[in-house]
Amino acid sequence: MWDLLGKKFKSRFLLGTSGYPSPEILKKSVLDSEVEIVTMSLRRSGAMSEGTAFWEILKELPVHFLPNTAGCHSVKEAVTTAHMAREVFNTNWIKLEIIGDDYNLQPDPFALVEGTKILLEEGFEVFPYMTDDLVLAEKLVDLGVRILMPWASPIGSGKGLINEYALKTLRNRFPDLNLIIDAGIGKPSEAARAMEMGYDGVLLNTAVSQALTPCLMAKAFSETIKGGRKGFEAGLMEERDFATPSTPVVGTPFWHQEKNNEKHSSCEKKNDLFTS
Amino acid sequence: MQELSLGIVGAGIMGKMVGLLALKRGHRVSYFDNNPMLFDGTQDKTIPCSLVAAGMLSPFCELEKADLIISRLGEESLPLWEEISRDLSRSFYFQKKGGIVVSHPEDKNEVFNLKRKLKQHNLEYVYEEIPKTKLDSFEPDLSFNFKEALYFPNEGHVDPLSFHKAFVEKIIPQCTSSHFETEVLNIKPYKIETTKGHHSFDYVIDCRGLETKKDLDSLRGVRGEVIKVQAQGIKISRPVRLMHPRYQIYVVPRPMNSYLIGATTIESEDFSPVSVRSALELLSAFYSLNSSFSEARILEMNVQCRPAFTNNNPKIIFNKEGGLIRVNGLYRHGYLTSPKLAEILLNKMNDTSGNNSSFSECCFWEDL
Repeated sequence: MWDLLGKKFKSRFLLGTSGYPSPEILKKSVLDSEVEIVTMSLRRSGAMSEGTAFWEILKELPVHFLPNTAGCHSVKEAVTTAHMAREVFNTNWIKLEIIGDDYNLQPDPFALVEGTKILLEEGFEVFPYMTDDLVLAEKLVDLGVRILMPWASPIGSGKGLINEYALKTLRNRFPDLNLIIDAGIGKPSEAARAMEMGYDGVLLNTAVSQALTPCLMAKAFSETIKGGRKGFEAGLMEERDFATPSTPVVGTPFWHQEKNNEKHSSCEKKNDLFTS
Repeated sequence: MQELSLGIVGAGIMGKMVGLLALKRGHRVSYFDNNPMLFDGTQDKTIPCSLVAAGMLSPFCELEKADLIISRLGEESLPLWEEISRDLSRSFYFQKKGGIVVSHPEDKNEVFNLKRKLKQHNLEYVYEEIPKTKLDSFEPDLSFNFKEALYFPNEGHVDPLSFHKAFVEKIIPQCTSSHFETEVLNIKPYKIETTKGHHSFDYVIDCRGLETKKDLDSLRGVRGEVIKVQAQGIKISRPVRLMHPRYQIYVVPRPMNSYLIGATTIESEDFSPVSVRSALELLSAFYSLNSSFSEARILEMNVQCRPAFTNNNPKIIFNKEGGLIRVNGLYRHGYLTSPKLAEILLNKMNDTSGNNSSFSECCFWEDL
């Protein structure tokens, strides 16, 4: 079981709720993939205004809700949205997303730090959506966040893990913190890769909602995320730059041994030539 | 064929279509609607959904998000539209010149996504990839900004306002009675109760859209915002869809050099006026087709909520005891699918008259 802020979850797959062909397909995708945490935006879902039909549909799902501040461009907007989310969804969890660039929706690191500080002081559990910058992560951790949500690549780009080095650095630097990859994942194999690196969870939306068959894609992600996690827990072998036979040479028929010996001795001869 | 009396509640696109086709089959039709018969801009009423709509008849482009059933209903509705257009006055604006799909170079994967969806349904033959030279002859005012496009020859568009006017002129006089600006208090099998009295019919057909919500609780409203503009000295003659990762915006030509730019799709039953963000999105998309559109004049901005079921597909629901049929959930496909839906409804109604006990909630799509 995955312990996330004192709550236990079987699934490490978090799903977004926008852009599906219909609410029915969204529901089926969540159920088929056994996702237990879904995220939704408040600003345009209308929960703040009269209509809450979409929210009523979501409420029927057996999931925990992680409201987000998608579409906010300033600290003030994001804080106000977080306040509304706390009332509407009855949770102190908030995925803090403050956009710094309109084209690639890159989060604004400076506003993120400022907004996180305010919301933590107000008792929120902040899930900061961030780039993979180490110094930014340190500042957020210093403020007291218990989760970091670095991007794999820009939202909806499907470019996968564009900077594995940076993601590995975050994992190594914060071994005890919950690290969730948020955004940019396009393929199930990329989600598996993030999990193999020791990430605690993966959040995505577009790769599922824009698939030809979203329910099937949700299931595919669910399975590879499980697989990736198991791989991490089992302990991956270290890469080597040379081949090692998995079958020991001892016990192979003698004519094979002879061939091997010939190869080795010719290699040695070549090496002798170079060294002499 | 038995001649039946039909009481149609709601004269939006679905109600209009049922009545229009029913009259052709010799049934007697009465209309009930709490809206005025014609909008002249002085009424203190929200413009109904069917008059805010863009009126695109694009069975294939809609597959970008919609189910195959929508595409089939739409495809079979097109010849019915042609027939309706012949029957109605010439002032009804109906065009079947096809539709265009474009994207800016950085978003060309969005066009690829649409092609992928069409391929999934073996529909690669419904479009042509046209180079700049052909786009030049088709839509010269688009070819400045776009080097290529997809052309869907078997698509069309209508102007909902001119359809409404033609309907009022030609169809309403053929009806047994029409009760506009009349509040319907109660709908029951065979009976309609209004503030002015009771009326009995062989069938009551409920086409009220979102107003039926209290009777169909799985219905929801999905907000859509549109902007109507008028442009001089520049012309686009076919509906154009601009594919973009965040918003799919279309521009539909209307009479008198005007265009409808639509439409946002926001999961909310919010009828408040168009937001600044949506206006910016819609207008920037329009402007990006050709910068000469910057001098276009904004005529109207409108908001409505489309009635939709959770699968975003329509439903025809027959009451088990007979005497009442509801058709609803046309979502953003009212003009696209209503002719075929009306035809299916009338065929099934005919099959079941005298034998009403066999139907409850049905979709009847098996024949398509």
